[in-house]
Amino acid sequence: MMLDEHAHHGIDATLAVLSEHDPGPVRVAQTRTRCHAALRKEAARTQRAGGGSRQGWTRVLEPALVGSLSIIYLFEVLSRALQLYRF
Amino acid sequence: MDPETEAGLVARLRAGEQDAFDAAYDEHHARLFTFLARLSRSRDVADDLVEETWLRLIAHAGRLRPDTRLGPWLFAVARNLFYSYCRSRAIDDASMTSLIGLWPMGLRQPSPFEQTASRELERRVEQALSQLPTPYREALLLVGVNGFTPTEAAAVCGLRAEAFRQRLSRARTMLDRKLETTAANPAGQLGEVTT
Repeated sequence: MMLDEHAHHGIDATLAVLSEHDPGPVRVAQTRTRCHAALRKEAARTQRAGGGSRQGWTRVLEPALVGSLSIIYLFEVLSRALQLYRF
Repeated sequence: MDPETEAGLVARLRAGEQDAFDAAYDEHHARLFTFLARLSRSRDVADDLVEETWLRLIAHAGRLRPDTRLGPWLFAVARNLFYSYCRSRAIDDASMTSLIGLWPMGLRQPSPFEQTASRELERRVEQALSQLPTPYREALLLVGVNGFTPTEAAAVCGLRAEAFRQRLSRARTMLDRKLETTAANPAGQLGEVTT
């Protein structure tokens, strides 16, 4: 087991001699530019999606408001009618 | 990168900040490229896959968990893209050896410095590594070259830690044997590439 560990450290030390490959400055810059364009597109998409959710919220709020006002109005009409019948 | 700095970087990435992307790019691009070049043994494939890796990060940045470790996350994506590429091209390890002429080391003109002993050792290690089957090669690249812990590397490969440790141990033994073979036969099995 000790021998195994020693051998493993030796292999890891051997692997440490490997240097990084140079991706090439031109390609690095090209990739960065494409990614920046993708970032802008993604930001615009997120913004649109955010706007869509506000519309969704309005779609929920509007009917709820109209519905509750209608119920109040109906309740008022009924209470007035009942008052008329009593007299 | 310490966990706090990384957490801050992830938070800024989630917000879609370009500066955060640039910081991550500067930190990981060369390492990712090198990993993919050694995995695929082709600079062109590595170029395409590393770009796709960054585009995946941009597309998924908003859904990153706050505690995401960016290095392992990026390497996992890069690795999965490599395997998808192999599947789409129906490339197995045997046919990958035909790409060996595209191995990045072969593209460089030898310089006087490359005649030194350290370069010679590096060349031998590159050769020996390139001859290992992909799963063993990636295990050594993740732990031995990129400095991931076996647990992190297991997560990158989608393996249980114990299974990964066994694979890593076998990979180290295989590389050791390959290095002994190349030491006995210094010419190696790879011919000089002339393009």
